[in-house]
Amino acid sequence: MTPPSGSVRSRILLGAVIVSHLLLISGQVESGGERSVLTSIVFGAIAPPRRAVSAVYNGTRNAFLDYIDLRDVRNENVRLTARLRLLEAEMNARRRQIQEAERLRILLDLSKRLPFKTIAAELVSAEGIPWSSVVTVNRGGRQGVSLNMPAICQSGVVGRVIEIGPHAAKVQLIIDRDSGIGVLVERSRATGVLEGTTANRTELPMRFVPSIADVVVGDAIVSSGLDQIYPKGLLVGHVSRVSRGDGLLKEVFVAPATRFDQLEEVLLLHVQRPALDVVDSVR
Amino acid sequence: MKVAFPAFAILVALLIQDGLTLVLPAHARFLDPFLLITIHFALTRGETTGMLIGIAAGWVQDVSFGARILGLIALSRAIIAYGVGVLAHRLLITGALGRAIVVFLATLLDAWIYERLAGMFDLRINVLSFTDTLIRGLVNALVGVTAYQLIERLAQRRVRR
Repeated sequence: MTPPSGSVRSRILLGAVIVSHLLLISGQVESGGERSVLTSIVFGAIAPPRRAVSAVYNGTRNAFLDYIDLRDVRNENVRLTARLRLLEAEMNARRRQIQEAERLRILLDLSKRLPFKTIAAELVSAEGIPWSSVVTVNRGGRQGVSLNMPAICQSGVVGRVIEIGPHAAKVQLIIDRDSGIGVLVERSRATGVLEGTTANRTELPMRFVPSIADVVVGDAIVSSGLDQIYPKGLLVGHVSRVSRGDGLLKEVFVAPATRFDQLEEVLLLHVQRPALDVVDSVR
Repeated sequence: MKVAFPAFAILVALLIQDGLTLVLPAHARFLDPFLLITIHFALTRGETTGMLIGIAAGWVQDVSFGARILGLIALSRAIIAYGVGVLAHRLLITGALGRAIVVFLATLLDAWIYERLAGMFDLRINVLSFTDTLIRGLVNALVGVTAYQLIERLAQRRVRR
């Protein structure tokens, strides 16, 4: 039979619990609350599961934080990569600007040293350099460009104007198959004609050099002025190869001073050509 | 079995309280799983069993959460368990609302008894503000009623099998 609620037994138990606890508490209060043996036993018994909870919690928390950190690192990586690309692009642009400024400075120096009026022009179309030998520049008739104006760059002769538009002009490079320029060996003054070629564009043939002419590898080749297009004394290239050739002529090859595959700006020269009185009188 | 289940329940309460202290240290005080266990046993097994389990849970709580004077919580829980057990037997409190009210009032009474006991022995304790005590009562009532229903459903399922 179930004891009635609030039965004598439970009341006695409650009384006993209250009295014993009051005694226990007052005992502890008198002893200053020192840790008892009972406390140590209970504490020792419940310590392992509490440690387990703590370990699980810390493990989960650390894993979560690691995950968050990893995500942050990934996001930061994406951000930094984007930033790096931007900075690289900016750096390339700056480098390009510096190089351009340097080239223009050299070109300006050159134009100051030349005894001609010059027009600086920028290549706008290369028609497939290095395969093509005609380039388009961004200066034309409106800017004072005229036919047959020689074009040079800081390293040497580039070519001549063969076609003019109002704001653009076509320049035939000296490596063009149909190009020809009167040249001479700067050291020995031996003359010849430098022709363009379709074969090896790093080496152009210098025609009509007498077999007795003094030409050696490394000699500087400059314009002779005899073609009435290029003024005298402009550097064209250096002798790269010399051989005896057939009969009365030597076989000479010249490496152009200009790097046509790196051409970006040119100077167009206003050359005052002398009137061809001799030709007229012959007529 | 009679001892194993209450012991397991106290262990679960300890783990919940520890977990809450670690995860939500600022809000852990608003839930008292030991009190919920005490009330549950007082409601379902009467005041005597409730009292004994309340004392055990109180002791574990006292020891595990660093009380310098042991027995205050245990004594408070014994009184609460007795009261709830007697009340449950007389009023047949089985509905969710009735249980929620009992848990809520028991939480307030427990806080009040604990403070009075501490005052009796001139002990310094951390007292919850009245608002915090009310919140604790509401949280206990909500969590307690949900947990009690869950436990009863599980028990019914076991009986059916």
